[in-house]
This record gives sequence, structure tokens and C-alpha cells, in this order.
Amino acid sequence: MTSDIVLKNVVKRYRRGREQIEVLHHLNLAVTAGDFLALMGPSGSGKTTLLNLIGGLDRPDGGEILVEGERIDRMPPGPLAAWRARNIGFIFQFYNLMPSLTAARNVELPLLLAPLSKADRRQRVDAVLDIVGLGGRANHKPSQLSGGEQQRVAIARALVADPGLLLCDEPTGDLDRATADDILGLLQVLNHRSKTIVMVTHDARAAEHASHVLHMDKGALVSEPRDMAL
Amino acid sequence: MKYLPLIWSGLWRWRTRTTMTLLSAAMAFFLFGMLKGVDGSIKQLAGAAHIDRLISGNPALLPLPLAYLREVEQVPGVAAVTYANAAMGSYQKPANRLFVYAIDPRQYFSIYPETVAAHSDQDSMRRNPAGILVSLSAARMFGWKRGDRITIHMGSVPREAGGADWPMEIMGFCDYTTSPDTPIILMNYAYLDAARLSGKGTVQRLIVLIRDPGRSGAISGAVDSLFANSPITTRTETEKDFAQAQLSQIGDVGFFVNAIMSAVFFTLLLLVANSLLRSFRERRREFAVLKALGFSDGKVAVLVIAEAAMLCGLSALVGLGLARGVLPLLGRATGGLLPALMPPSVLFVGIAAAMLVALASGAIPAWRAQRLSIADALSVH
Repeated sequence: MTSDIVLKNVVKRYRRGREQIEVLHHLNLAVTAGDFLALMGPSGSGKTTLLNLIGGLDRPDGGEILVEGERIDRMPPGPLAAWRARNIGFIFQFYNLMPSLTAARNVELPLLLAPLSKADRRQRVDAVLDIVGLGGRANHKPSQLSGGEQQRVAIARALVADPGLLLCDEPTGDLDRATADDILGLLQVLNHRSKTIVMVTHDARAAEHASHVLHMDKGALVSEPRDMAL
Repeated sequence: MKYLPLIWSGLWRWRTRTTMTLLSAAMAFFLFGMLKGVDGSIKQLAGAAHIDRLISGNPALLPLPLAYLREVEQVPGVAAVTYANAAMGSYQKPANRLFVYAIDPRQYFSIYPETVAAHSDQDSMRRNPAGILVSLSAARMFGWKRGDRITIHMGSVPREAGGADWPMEIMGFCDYTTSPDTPIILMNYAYLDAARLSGKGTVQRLIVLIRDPGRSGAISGAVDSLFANSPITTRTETEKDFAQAQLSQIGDVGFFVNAIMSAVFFTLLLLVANSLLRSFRERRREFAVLKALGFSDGKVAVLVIAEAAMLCGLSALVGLGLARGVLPLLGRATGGLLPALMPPSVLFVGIAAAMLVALASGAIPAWRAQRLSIADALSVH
């Protein structure tokens, strides 16, 4: 089986004052295409740091990160940003929508980077808003939407450029149980439509929606990664 | 253009703060427009001076004997000579001020082609000693019509018969194209000279039309040498030099305007920079999200600069537009004493200044946005 994401011997350190703290210790991981992986673990275990490294939001201090064969840890900032725009959709715990833009304008943001006409952008925005069930809320601002609706807008924004990989950082952490189940159901549907998903979560019930679960603690994977193609 | 909604929404993220900053900046540009407008209009007037006209007057501003005119006419290269005695006048109340020029209507219009009057009106003025021509702006301002009999008060020119009220009759109109909004009256010098209490037979200065502007220096020298040994000597110079010398008497307006505006723009720079920095700090997370979505470091920096440019550009448009509307009112309120036009160059310089302020004030937040670490910014809740 081919791996979409491969991390080899990845090390990440942060500096706190004079002290250097290693938050990921020679970590190895492989995620196959079409997988829905849940990363669980206590706060400070390095889950979000790992997600940031996979998404090219941060750089490792050692090791290699390959996504579909590309060494993203070596990419210069400009090409890395372009790579993110093409390949990654991010879904955050607190939605991170632009408060003064409507839902449609928020969803349109990644498309501004693509050579598309206004009509094409509008068409794609309408299509993804329909997918997440918010076709009638396109002109509402985030403050006029519920938490669940805001997260659906964030999912639409992550989907609109049709990336192969969705990275979700506690996507249901700020939602009630019923809404969280809706959102997780939506992620499952997207996974069945061939999106690879890596989701960081504290919530064991959320992790049940994933096809695989890995546990992290103190910067290392404590349950053995599956299908390693190193 | 596709980024416009994003930039616009960022600008108005905090409406009250943006409105306050915009109004403060607009006020600075209003001040800039007013000061530069007045300064530019004065310079424009000086720039409109003709190079084929010389002005001859006494260095100590003593009046010249009118008899000098015949002698100057004989100087080789001189095409024609005339005079214009200027005085401030008022109509009905002191606030209704206007300029009164006592002229020789037979010569004046050929030497001053920029003052346009119908030949029939010129003839009517010549035939009636108390006849005057009024500028279109004065006619509009005071509702004057042809044939109206009016009284103009000229405090600096008392009458032999007592008082300083001069009865006049409007024979027609003139278009004072150099400064169309300035209210003026052209009256017969002969009428003024015959009735005034003092200074009879004198003029403030002579206006000399020359055939070859390239010889202005030589002709000026020839005129001045005529009266070098007279009690009343002359200093003759081109109209442009004369206009600039007049301006220098009221101080270097340009220097004061530039000094004031430098201080205003420096303050504006700090104000806008502070507002943009605050806005950047409060929106670090939003910029980080844009980067996460694939916006490059450079693109995010350009968005910050574009926001600054939009703020400063809007302020400049509001402030300069207001100044453009208010300047003519100021011109009217001062009876045309202050020029009432904003030269187009002031608009261009204003917009350019706005862009410079935007670049300078947006530089630090743009640089910080460019260097912003996505992971760090997203980790702060």
C-alpha cells in the first residue's frame, strides 16, 4: 500500500528562554491514502505539533517529512505556501473564520490563490456550501451562525480547493455532542469520497469515527504505527 | 481586484477605530489641501505673469510722475506703455471688498489681453468719466447690472471734495481670466486723478510692453537710466520678477506650508502606524490562518500594505475633496483676496503623500506579518 504521508525520524524542539524542549523525539509515521487517522493523547503530547509539521505550518529540527513523495521539510517558504494551497485543507477547533466576511467570502479565500474567474469561484463556493448543508446561509457572517454552522463553513473552506488531505485540529472540541457527531459524520462522508484525514482529538468518542487511532505521549507514538513503508 | 473584499473587511474590522483614524487623517489632508491650495494658487498667479511686460516703479514705492510715461515710450524696443493704480475698495459694507484699478482704457486692454472686455463696453467706459467695468465675479457677487449707479468706498484714496466714497456707473463687464473669482473694478484714471485729494499726476507704476522679451534686461536698464538722476528713480523688472518680489514681501509661503505639513504628516504617520500595529496585533491569528490556507509571506505583507494604502487613500480623498469644496468659499469670504482654486497638482501631490504615509506606516506591520510564525500565532487563544 502506498503512503501519502511519511515521517522519518522527525525531531522538533522549541526554545523557552535559554532552555530547549524537545517535543517530538525521532518520530516515525506513515499514513496511507484514503485513511482517516485519529491522533489522541494528553495535552502537551505533541499532537498539534505533529499536525503542523504534516501541514507544512512548521518545520522539523531533524528528520524528513514526505507528502506524496515531496520533501516538504526542504521546501522554501513560497513554494511551501503554494503546496499548502493545493494539497491541504485545515479545520481548526475554533473555526478561525474571518469575522467580517460572510460565509461565502470565507469559503472563497483559498480560491483567491487559484487562476479562476469570479463566476467559477462562486460556483465552487456554492457547491461546497451545499455539501456541508449551508446553501442557504452563504451571506451570513460568522457571528450570525451557530458553532456547528461555523465549523461547517470551516470544513467548506477546507474542501473548496479540493485538496487530497484534510488536517483537523480538535474539530469538535468546541461543540456539543450532537453537533460534534454531525461534524464527524460529515468528515466520514468526505473520507469515503477519498479524502485522507488526520484528526487530532482528546475525545475518545470522536476518535471512534476514524478508521485508525494512534496515541501519543511525551512526543512519541505509544501505539505502534501501522503500514509503515519506511 | 479579487482581494478587495478581503482588504476592505480587514480595514473595517474595528469600525470605530478605523473611522476615528480616517477622520484624523482626513483632517490632515484637508489642512494640506487648504495650505497647498492657497500657496499653489499664489504661485500660479505669479506664473501667469507675461514675459513681454516690464513693471517700472520706485524702489521706495514713491509714486511716479505720469510724465515719465512719454519718456519711456521713446525707449527703443518699447511697444507701448500704460499704468494701473490699484486700491482696495468696498461696496456698502467693509466686508464686501474688491480691487479697484484706475486705468487708461485706451491702452490697458491691448497690454493686458488676459482682461477681456467687449469693445462696445470699453468705448462706453471711455466716454463716461465715472464709467466703470466690473468683473463677472463682482457682478455675480453683488448682483450688479449694466447701468447701475453704485458708490465704492476707497479709504486710501480720499476725495478733494471730502470723504472717500466714489460714485460710479457700470458701463459693462470684463472677464479677469487670470483670477476669475477675484472681484475687480476698472475705473478711469482721469476721473480718479481729477477728484482725488493728493498724488495728482502720479501713478504707482508703469507697465511697459516690449517687442522682444529676450531684450528685457537691456530695456529695463535703458528705462532706469532715464531717471537715474531724477528725485524719483525707477527700478524696472519683468512682471514675473515683480510678482515674485511681491510674494517674498509676505514671507516664504512655501517654506511655512512645507514646515507645517511636515509636522502634520509626521504626526499622521505615527497615528496611522499605531493604528495599523494595533490592528495587526489583534489580527495575528487571522493572518496566520491566511498563511495556513496558502497565502505566501509576501502576499500577506502586501495585504497589510494595501490596507494601509486604502486607509490613507480614502483619507486623502475625503480631506482633499473637502478642501477643494471649501477653498472657493474661503476665496469668496475674503473677497477674492485669497485665491480660490486648488491646482490639480495639489491633488496629485496629496495622493502621492498618502501613498508614502501608507508605505511608511504599513512597513512595520507588513514586515511582522511576513515573518509571522503560523504555528505560534495559531497556538495563542
